[in-house]
Amino acid sequence: MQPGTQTAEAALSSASFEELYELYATDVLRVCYFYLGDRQRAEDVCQDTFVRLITAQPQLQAGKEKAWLLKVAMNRCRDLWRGAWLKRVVLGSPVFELIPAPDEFSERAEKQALMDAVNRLPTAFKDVVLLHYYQGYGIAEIAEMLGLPEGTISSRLSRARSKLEALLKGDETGEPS
Amino acid sequence: MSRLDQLHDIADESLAGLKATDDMRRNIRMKAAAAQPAPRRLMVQGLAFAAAALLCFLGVSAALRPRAGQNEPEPQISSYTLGQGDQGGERYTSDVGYGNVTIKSDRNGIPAMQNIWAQGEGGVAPLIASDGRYYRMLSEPQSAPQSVLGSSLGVISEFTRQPELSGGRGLLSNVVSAGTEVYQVRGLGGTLLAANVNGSLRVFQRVSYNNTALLSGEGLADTLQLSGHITGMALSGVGAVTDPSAAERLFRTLVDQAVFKSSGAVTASQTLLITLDNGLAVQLSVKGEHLGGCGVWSCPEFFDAFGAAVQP
Repeated sequence: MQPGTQTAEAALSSASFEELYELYATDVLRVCYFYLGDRQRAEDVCQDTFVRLITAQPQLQAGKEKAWLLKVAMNRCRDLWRGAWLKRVVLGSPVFELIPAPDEFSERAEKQALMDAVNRLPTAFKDVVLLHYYQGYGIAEIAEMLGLPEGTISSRLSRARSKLEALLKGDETGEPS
Repeated sequence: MSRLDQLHDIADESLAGLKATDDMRRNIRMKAAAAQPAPRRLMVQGLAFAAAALLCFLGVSAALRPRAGQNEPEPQISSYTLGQGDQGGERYTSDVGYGNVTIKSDRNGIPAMQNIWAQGEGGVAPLIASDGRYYRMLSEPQSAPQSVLGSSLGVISEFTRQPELSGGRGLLSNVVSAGTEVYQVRGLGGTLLAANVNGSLRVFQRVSYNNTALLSGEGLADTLQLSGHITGMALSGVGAVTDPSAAERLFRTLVDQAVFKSSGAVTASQTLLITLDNGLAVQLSVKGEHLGGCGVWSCPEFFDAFGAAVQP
């Protein structure tokens, strides 16, 4: 019952691109959407991430493929976020638009509030919240992905929770009272 | 911030309409092809042309080649089909039935170590949980035939990424979509389950997980209800027993003599594949005289008997 023994070479074969796409593309897309708040942009970044997987042929450790994809996607999102277009168009958006399945509209307000609050977190906090609470990575894994000490990740998570709480209480600045 | 702990579920639900599409996949392939450096692209095109030429040549050769059973043999493969009784003699590609598990052998015909536990995301095994019983997906076969399906157990009530799959009662999974029907494999009790995963019928074997193996009153025979269906056994690095009656006797030795050691798992250095008359196989991980599947069992008597059975 050993963990996966897939090699980096195998991960980059055509068949494995399909496998990785099936497994992770939707997660990558949704994380991008959290950052960008724009479906088309999120799709573009998701596609660019997988293009890079195929063309750059990174040396991926088995089991770390998703972490690599998310890291590349998040870096690209941050680059875009700094761009004028997003600052002008997305930061001005009043709400983070949800894209629910057609039959899912229950508890929308509460969930919308949480999604909106996460979306409004500063990037550094959004990173750790998305990786920890959305994608299920541990503090050590996040530290490795972001190249930061574990203590920094723990601290950011703690501060992110406080900011989220403040945002959910209606404090537009997200500063805890 | 209890809601934050539910961010995964909330986000997935709230963004359920946002999915990676086949159009995106096509775009990625096109962009990747366009992004390749020109010399490499030319080389790929050259290789593609050469491959096409080779395929044409092989196709013409195949068309002109006499059919199997006349003069030319079919291509031989280094694995053999399971569940077909007699394994003697050469095996050919056409002998391997659709959905059958195949065992790989080394040059000397000794079964190679072949782990057929399917691997999951982040090291978490792909599982179905059914009221305290855990079933792990097998990597083989990739698509089992519908003929193996027995009675329905119901549908997956919850898709959860929680490794312990402890979110509730009923049928849970971290790989089978909610609403998908789960079946027992015909004739094997609760040993194997089958369910559709991404359009293919996949097989799941009862295993221990999260330090849970046997439920009250259960023994090894309850988790391996295989009697009457065994056609062979292959112990990697040792040999294969392909006589069904001999394999059945070995299995009896195993279930009668094995002593339960723990609800954990063994770090396998070998694998034991038990082949079945429906073309499927179940796996036990082996280390020394211990076997792991649904719990860890010690059974030196089995290994002694197996060694004797494969002696020429």
